[in-house]
Amino acid sequence: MHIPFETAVVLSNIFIFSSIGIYLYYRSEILFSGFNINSFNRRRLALCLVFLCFYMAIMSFYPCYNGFNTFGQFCMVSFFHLLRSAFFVFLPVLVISWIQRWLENTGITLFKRNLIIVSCIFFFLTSTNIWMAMLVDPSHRINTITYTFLMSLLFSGIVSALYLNITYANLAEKRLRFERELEISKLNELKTKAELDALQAKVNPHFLYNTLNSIAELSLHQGAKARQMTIALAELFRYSLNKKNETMIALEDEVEMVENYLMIEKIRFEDKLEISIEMDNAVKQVQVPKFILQPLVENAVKHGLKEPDKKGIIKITITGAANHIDLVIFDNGAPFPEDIQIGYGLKSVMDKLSLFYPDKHTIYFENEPVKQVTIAITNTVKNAQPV
Amino acid sequence: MRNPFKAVIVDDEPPARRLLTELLSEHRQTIHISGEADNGSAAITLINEAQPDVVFLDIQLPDMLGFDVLKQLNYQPFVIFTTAYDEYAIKAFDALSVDYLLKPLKEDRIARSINKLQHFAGGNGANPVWNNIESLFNGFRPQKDIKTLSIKKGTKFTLVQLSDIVYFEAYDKYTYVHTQNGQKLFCDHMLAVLEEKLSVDFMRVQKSYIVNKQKVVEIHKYSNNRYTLVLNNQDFTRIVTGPSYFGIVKEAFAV
Repeated sequence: MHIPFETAVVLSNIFIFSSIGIYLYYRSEILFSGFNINSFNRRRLALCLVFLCFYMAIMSFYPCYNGFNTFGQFCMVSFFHLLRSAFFVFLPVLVISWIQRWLENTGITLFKRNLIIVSCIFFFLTSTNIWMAMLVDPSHRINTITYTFLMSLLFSGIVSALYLNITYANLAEKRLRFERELEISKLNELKTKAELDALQAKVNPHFLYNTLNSIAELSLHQGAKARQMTIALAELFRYSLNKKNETMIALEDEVEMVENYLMIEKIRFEDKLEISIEMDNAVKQVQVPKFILQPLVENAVKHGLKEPDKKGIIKITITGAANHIDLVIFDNGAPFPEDIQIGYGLKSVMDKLSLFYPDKHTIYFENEPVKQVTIAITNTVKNAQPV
Repeated sequence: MRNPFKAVIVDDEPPARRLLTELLSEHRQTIHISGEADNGSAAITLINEAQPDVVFLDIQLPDMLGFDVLKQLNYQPFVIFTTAYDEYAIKAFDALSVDYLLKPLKEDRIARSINKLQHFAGGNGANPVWNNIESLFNGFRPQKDIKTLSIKKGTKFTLVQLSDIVYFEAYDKYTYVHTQNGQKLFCDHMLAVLEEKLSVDFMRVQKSYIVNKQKVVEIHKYSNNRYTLVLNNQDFTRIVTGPSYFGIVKEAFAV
């Protein structure tokens, strides 16, 4: 069977270019990963190259019909063909990818979006092909247009299929990633829950032994005070041992526990500590995680007592309504340093806040006009159920 | 029989001082209390002035640690530490001090300490704490690696945990902090200042970027002396490393 040279060139070109195109498209994520561009542009670049390959494949007949005598001429014509194709490829890809990006931001369903993109691909490939076919020698024009049209349909089909394939593959991958992240976040929550339990069972041993030492002294001559302190310590332990295994508690109860704690500290340091607590009636019943306030009060006591010969003053102010609260803890110690180092207590509070009120809380420190730390919870309702 | 030891009690809690005084009154013949202090700086002045033979020293004082007091003395008394609880410190005390007392204080334990004190004072051993104060000090000093970064907002400042930070981006003389949940916070430090403050988890990979090594999920070769790092935040940010940081990056990620 005799195959004319032109046909051979066309067929081999189709084969080579379309293979390269398909390969590039499938490998695009890896091939261009070295470039510092976002995934949208990376996909666009890959699409450009693929289109170019298909263009070369579709239009490979073009040099043949334009006539050439030597191999050098053939190469020349092919080269100009490549340049022209590159131009005709760049334009539609640019337009299509912008349409795609625009569609992603509208609320249209994925199926409809893909339908629009696919029709765009068909439209651009077919129209530009036919337009380009007009460039060839008039005697071949009718044949060329017929051929181009059929080939465009075929390759539009292939490109669309590839496009859909990648889209759905991405979708599946995204879903998988999302599920994995969900799993990780669940694990983290469990971990934090475990940490929370561990945290609550722990009363600072330093505090415990010092308190017992004070009780030992008080029992010698000041029985009433010793009794008061023993009861307060017992209350504190009951609260922290958490028999009922509850993570949330009414703010009122947390404040009562803080009062117990402060009473002990006040007896330990006698006249060196001055305390006031103010709480709005509206927030008394708001549910908060246990030990959300106490660690910060403990820090305030520590800092309020730091300066010798100066009375430590602690003021706790709790304001708000049913669904948002501000907890403010003031002390008259030295100002917070530029880079605060986070201790065990503060860390436990921050962890609890981000577990129970993700994105709905802030904790900030101020030195001016007064030294205080504020926990602002903007919505106590939504995420406030125990894990 | 020598003169009674002159003693000073340093403790921040009045009840604790009273208890020790009370318990020491049983040993009136050997110990005479000549002064009390409730914080570190007062203790330094008192000890330097009174020149006691022995100091009962609490470790956790409001303004400093007991060891800081010892460091600043120009006089070297015997030292008996009193402390509520500290596993590590107790080991150190056993080896290095005359003795230590655990709270709540016990009579028989105090008696034993006084015996030991007499043993040392009788010239049967060197005053232990002073030869070893450095090692005592170092063993006890809590290690402070920084775990948070404070970010100023006017007069207020908030804290960001370092484990939530994905990378830092230089912005003129300031820095943007990019966190795990996509927040972009403004920080008024220069990148170079931050680089010195941050822990080993963080690494400068380019003139204007510091990344959290824990957050790097992929590394690609960008050119023959640069890498692309893909970070584990919401939009998988890609950062190209600088040529001059090639060696450090290569070593850090063992690529």
